[in-house]
Amino acid sequence: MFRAVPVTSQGMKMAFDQTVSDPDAVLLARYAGGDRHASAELVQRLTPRILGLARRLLQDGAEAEDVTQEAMLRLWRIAPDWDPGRARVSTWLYRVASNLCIDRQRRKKPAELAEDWEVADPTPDVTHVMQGRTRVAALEDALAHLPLRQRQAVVLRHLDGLANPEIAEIMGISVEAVESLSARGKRTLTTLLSGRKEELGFADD
Amino acid sequence: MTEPENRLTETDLDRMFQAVRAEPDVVPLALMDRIARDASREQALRSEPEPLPRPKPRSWRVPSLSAAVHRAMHLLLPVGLTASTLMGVWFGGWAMDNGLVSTDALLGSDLAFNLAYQLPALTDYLVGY
Repeated sequence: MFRAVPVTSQGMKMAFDQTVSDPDAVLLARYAGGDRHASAELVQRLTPRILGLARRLLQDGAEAEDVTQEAMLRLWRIAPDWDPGRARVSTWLYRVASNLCIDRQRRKKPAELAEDWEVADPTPDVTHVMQGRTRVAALEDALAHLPLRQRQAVVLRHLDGLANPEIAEIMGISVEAVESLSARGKRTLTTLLSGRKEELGFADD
Repeated sequence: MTEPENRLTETDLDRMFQAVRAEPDVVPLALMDRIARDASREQALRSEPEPLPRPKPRSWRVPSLSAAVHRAMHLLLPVGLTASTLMGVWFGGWAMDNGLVSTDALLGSDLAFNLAYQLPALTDYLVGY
């Protein structure tokens, strides 16, 4: 049975508009209504992005897959009660996946940099580890050295292309805090990758 | 310190971001399959009919009356027996005292005669036979 999402007369127009502007919410409502094809479409649309985020935050393919499956499972379970006035489906899913990643990362206690850490000069080891990699691999490696919150902000802003207000919603912080984390993350990345300009193909620019 | 000319610029970093964005996020088929199975299972769970509500306890009176009588019997039976015994003792004493029942009258009664006739052994216990 199709579940009518808008409930109050006041919220009806807003909820309807948000459902229309969020195709994932439409698909989720269809899934909740028993449409078997809707879930396949949602998987195609959302899974790559969530898996990409999880991989970059966790730096572990198997764990990233587990987190992605868990996040999607939570989506299936919330589908009948989904309120489109609350958030976009993708925003909600990013938040769930991010929190799952942070929980796992905290349990692992990684040897990452302190949250307020910024590099004054890259260590020879970091430069050495990154030798012989492509730009993509070099950036992925450098990302792994960022504090988790900086990494999360940089990935969501610069790799997933989300707007700062949406990132703020996902991370549960202010837009200013997102801007600060993102800027610090970029500075750290620049420092980490410095000295490899020629190797990365930027020397002639 | 890194030489300034070796430092990556903001533009260089943006180009690296672009390179990563251009890379497709490949999702293993096995993962897609796991997620799809989760979706189907959750959907099937919700489409299952809800379990029938528990029948309410019947409210008609006969069973409850029967149960009440049953419960009362446990209390009433010993009380009734005791009361009957006490009444019998009291009534017997009162009858004897008022001459309504005497040994002679008892022995001369049809009951005593029949008992003596049917059960001769009892005559040993009945004074006068």
